[in-house]
Amino acid sequence: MKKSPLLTQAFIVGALLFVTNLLAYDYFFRWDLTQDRRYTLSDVSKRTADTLDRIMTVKVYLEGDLPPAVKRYRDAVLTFLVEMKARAGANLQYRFIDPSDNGALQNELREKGVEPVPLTIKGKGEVSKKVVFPAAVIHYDGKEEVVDLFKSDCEFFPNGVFCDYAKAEAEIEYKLVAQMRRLFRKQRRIVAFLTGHKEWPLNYMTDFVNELQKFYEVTEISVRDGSALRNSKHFLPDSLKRLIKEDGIDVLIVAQPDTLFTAREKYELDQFIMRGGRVLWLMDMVRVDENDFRTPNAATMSRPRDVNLNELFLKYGFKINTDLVQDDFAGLIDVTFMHENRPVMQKFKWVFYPRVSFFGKHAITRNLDDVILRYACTIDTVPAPGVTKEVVFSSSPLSRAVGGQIVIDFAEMIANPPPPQVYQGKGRKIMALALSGKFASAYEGREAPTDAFAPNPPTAKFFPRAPLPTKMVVVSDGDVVVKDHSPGAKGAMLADNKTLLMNAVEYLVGDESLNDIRARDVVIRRLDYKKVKDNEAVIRAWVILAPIAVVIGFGLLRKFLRERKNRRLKVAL
Amino acid sequence: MAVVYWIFHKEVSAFFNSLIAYIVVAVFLAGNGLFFWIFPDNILETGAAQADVLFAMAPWLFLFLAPAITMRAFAEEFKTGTYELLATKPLDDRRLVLGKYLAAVALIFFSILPTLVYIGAIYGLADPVGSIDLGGIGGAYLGLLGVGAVFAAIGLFCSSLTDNQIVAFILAAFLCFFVYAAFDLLAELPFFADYNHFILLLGLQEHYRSISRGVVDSRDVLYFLSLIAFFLLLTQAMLERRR
Repeated sequence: MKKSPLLTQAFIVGALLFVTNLLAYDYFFRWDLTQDRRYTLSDVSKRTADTLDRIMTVKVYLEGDLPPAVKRYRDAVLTFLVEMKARAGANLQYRFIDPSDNGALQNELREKGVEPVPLTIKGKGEVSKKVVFPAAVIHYDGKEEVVDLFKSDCEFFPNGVFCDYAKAEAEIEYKLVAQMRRLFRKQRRIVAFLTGHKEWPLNYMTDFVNELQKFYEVTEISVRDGSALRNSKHFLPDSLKRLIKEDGIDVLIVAQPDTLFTAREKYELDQFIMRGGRVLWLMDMVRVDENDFRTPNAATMSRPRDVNLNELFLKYGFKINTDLVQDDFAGLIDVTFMHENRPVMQKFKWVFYPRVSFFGKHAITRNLDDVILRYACTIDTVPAPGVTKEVVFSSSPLSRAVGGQIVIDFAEMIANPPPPQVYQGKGRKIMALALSGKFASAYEGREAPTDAFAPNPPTAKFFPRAPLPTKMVVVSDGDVVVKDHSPGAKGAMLADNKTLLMNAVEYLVGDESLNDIRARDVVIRRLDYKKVKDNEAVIRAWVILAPIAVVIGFGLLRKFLRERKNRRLKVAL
Repeated sequence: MAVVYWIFHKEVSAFFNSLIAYIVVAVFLAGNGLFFWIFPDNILETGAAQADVLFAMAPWLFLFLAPAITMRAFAEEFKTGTYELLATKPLDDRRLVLGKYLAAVALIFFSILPTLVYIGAIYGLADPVGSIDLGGIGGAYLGLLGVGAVFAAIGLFCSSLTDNQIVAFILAAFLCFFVYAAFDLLAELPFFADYNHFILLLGLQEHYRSISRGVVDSRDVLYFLSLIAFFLLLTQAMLERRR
């Protein structure tokens, strides 16, 4: 064979093209031609993809034989991962795994807290059951996070499960990116429960504490001796980080204090907030003793609760009123009574357990279906410059506030709850509020207090106003965090209360950037079912034959034109 | 350019003058129709107003369409001796390859054109009428044409290797399959576990994935163009050896 200079040239050019492709890999643009821009990642997701500096593996447990709606959802997850991978390259790996024939894997998933969802598949004539594990597990840097994909959007009925896939699909990007970003945190964040005022002991909140411990370091802290609440450096600018020697608390939870705060404790709390500390207040201002309901006359007197924090609250921009919310949309209470000499337990609607099912757009209420409070108070907002207040949720339109010092006649209230008319125009009381901004100190122009417990003046620098924006969340019910004592609850919290509080802590720990991920409006493009069913055979025949007919027609036309041309040529000759 | 056009025109009319051409295109369209409208998971069954099944299956049907279009390009010329005739003309190989290549791409374009009937049908059947994602579908057609253009370059190269059309067809079908899908399969092997991302990126399918959903990625476009340029250069080199 001849030596070919062109062949050599072809291979040189080939090698050059190969290198060009490699070099161009990191410099690219993507042009999303779809009408709803559904393949365009939000900026947070792009940044998340860019941040990966080692391999992140996403395992999605939706694969195999799935009902069409779930398959569609699965494809949407795939779509998102493909877009992320286009950005992240080799650092993002994903796999879709079918756990249905793998008992060991199913057990492993259950251990990680993934609950299976039983779905009904409607086939041709027959109906079959299929259990799916709607979850993804993300591994990164030796850690892992479990993502609930759509279980929280499912409602479970005795005759089947109904899942809102459109809603779930709109949340895919948020859910996955939120968990990815959690994995980036080098250190575990510290959540502390304040003690010293008869707050709930940890064993009253086991469900919540256990859940917190999955993601955070959980600790208890007292500031009775006047020591400063060291807040974590995470939220601080460099200029302030120098002032704080060691890492401290990221989120402080004040869970239903019941005795007075000392002046110095208030000062330390105030300064913790000024330095950027984040606080979750779970407290109401009224004591109701349910034990009294077990007494023969079954009535109790609610009493105002004073813990001496109002002064701080007013300065920060809110006020927890000394009252009780009665809501026609309410949770249930267990009532035990004697029937034929046997104790019988029954559940009754209890208007003092406001049940919240309608939520706004606030990040804290993502994925919530139901929150049940017990003896909640109302919250009012108070003007506070530089502070933004967002209502997290309110009572239903059929609700009202009653005084903080009332007699609650148990049997009477169960038998004759207030008729809905009494609530007319009195509802929508704020029961949870999120505040953010540069709070002002309640101690500006005042001496830092000292007392018998804390005789020494504070050592930390005083801040008259928070130099950086910080956040706090108030829920006007201290019971919200306590486990459900009713038999059968197995120590779990009521309704979605745990999700609410976990969301609140996550919101406080912050990753504001996630709020940029808009819930996408998912356009579901479907064929007109009736039109299709009525004309199935005709459509199929047309659609298959028409293109072929076009081609054959073209050929015949060509032949005809050519023959005519030839004939004319012949005639001309 | 006139020379390129002359070759282009000659190739296209030669194609349409053969009965085989119509059979090939009709089989291609019938295959697409079956996958899209009849076989399991067809669009009427899933009820989704989108054309993703078409764009997933058409590249596989290209595996036989593109080689069938290109197999005769050079093999026929070598066999009948017309290549020697062409070689005496004041016509360089570059223009010859370019003319034949453009003709092959045009013919592939012509073959997928009738599938617009499907899009029209979905458009009419969608609820409400016309609520389909034309932007995404347009992008996917671009991608499909890109795959066809790469296959045409591969087919042309295979045709330049032999004077037997059947050999050219089989070689091209295999090479197209290899370039399109083999890297995806190789990446699955445990042996390549550490490099699977890189191996995937060598394959055409990986680069077709995003554009088939309507997202044009500059890297995919570069990859398509690189493959085309490489195989056309190889073709030219093969012709040079014949001279």
